Amino acid sequence: MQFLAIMITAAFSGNFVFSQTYGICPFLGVSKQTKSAVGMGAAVTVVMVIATMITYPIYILLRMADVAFLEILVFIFVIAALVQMLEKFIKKFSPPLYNAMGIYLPLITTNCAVLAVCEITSNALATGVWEMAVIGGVSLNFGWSVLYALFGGLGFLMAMVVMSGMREKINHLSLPKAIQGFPITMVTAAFIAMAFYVFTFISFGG
Amino acid sequence: MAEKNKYGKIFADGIIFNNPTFMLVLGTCPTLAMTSSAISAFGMGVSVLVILTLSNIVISALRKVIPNAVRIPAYIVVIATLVTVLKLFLDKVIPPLYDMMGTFLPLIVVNCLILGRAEAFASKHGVFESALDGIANGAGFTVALVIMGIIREFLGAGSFFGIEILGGFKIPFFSTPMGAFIVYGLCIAAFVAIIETAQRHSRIKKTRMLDGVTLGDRAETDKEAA
Amino acid sequence: MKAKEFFKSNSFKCILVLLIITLVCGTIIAACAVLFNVSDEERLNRSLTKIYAGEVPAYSDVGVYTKAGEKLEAGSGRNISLFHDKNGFYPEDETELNKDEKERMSAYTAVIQQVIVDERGTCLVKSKGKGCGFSGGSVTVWVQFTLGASAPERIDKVINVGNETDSSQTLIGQFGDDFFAGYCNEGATATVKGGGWFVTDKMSVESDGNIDVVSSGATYTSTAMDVAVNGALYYVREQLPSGRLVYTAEGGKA
Repeated sequence: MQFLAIMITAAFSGNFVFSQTYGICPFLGVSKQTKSAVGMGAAVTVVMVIATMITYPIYILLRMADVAFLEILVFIFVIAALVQMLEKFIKKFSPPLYNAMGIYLPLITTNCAVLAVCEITSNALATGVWEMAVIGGVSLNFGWSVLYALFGGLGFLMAMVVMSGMREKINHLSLPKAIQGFPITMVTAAFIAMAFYVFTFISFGG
Repeated sequence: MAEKNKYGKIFADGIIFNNPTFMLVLGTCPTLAMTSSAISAFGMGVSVLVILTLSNIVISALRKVIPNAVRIPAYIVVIATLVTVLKLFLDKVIPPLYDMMGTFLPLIVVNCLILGRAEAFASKHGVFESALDGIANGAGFTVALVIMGIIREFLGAGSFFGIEILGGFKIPFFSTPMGAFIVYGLCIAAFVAIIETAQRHSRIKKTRMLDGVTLGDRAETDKEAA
Repeated sequence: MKAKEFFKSNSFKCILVLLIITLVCGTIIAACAVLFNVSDEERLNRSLTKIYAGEVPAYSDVGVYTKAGEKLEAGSGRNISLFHDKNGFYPEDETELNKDEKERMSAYTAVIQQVIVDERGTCLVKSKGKGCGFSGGSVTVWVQFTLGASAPERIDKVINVGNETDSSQTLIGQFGDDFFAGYCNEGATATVKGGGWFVTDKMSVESDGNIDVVSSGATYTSTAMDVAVNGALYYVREQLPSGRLVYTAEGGKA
């Protein structure tokens, strides 16, 4: 039951792109083709999961050492290092994959969604006594945090794929020049967001 | 005179012609999330302006010292430090703004706009120009966000900067992310259309003026140009 | 060899520069953390200034007690269970629900974190509604009660404690003063006096005020609010006869 709550909250009712508006820059930039959308979404998911696994215990340590103010610096450092290592890893083990999505990898560092996931799961924003964040009625300990990151990333992937599918279709339309490009993309995103809005009516422990 | 023109160009580029939000579409996360009211839009815009200017100054000052291979990590460290200082400052001095921004305050670190300007401008120009560029882009960002904030607040909550105007009439749709997408898209379309029309008219005007001077008569040759 | 040496020295320079920058930045941050430190007392004062809308009277922190009368240590909170179905709220002991009914209902927890009584006799309770809310987060509020002889008379004010409300409550900004006023108007006062509990019926707090909250998707955050306020109400009703909700100058701060 808790598994279901986290899964649905992360991917649907609290979808990173359509509900919480994180990760919009890559969402707009990389969703022109489904192939690159899938690649970017998968890479972001991997980075999210590993980053959460690393930053969750680190934040607890920072809190215990009373240096919680170093959190932003440490988190972004971890994420940047991870992306760098992932890039080298992909380059070494799968050069064709690297050629396909090599240019998008450095962009993951500036993906708000990755840093946002780290911040949410470690509950870094709450002042006062530290308590675990609660999502979907479930207190986020290490395990649930990783699960949340995983499904959050998959939700992001899903958002990218849906968007890329629609954008590929839109390319065939002839639109007035003022509407082409970003405006029609945004309006499309709004309609997809409306579809996802339905999920917010699913409640857990509510 | 050339100096003044150069600075004027930096400002014009930052605020209008290369407006980060409407023309370049950078830093979109805060644009969608923080514009549900005009005050939070203004707060976010000013925060980004401050961070952008300071980061441009620091990075420009250090540009000769930082080796090329580690420039991105170095920029990120500088920006993260500035954002942390801002977070501590806001928590102490302006708590309501801190509460309003929530998760999006730390996310300023990964705002593509700040890293983008650092990479594109501050690493190649002097301190004073970088500062101006930071202020210009930040101002453009703030103006864009405030415009969107005013529209969304007006439609979504019937108020203007918190003051109730429409007497209870509101369409809450515009306060949601869905409304944000639509307003953003339409604003881009409108802004680009207005700028391009203005540019086209000024080009036509210049062509008319040049024609008038070269031919030495003020005949109405502009009928073809129009 | 020569190329390798050159490369080695360059990468050494890279690491050195990065390390120096990081250390300098870390020091700056640490200095600012000390400079801009906000103590717990300052946070409390911020909430109090918001509640009293001006001058804060002398108050004393009377501590949080269990039902049996033991005082909990500072920092820990008293958990109050509330059961909920569409007909209303049923707090832990006041309900004659059997096991099946309890299983059918949703269970929430309100955590009473701090109780303050001021010299005017009003009581402030800091309560956190858990296990519900948009994305299942929590909401922390201060509730100000005017106390009668044996029961609370009315709720004077409810405010949201901004930075302690879960960061997933993205729609908390939708809750304007009208929503909170729903706990303080005449219908609400009747509920308080009559021993009832607050229910947000998807659209409004049960009172005269009608706040259209569901269209912004914040239905569950309003449930969390109810849990928090009901928890505070339960605590005050329980503790008032014991005489602990009294201002004392010794335990006090002016």
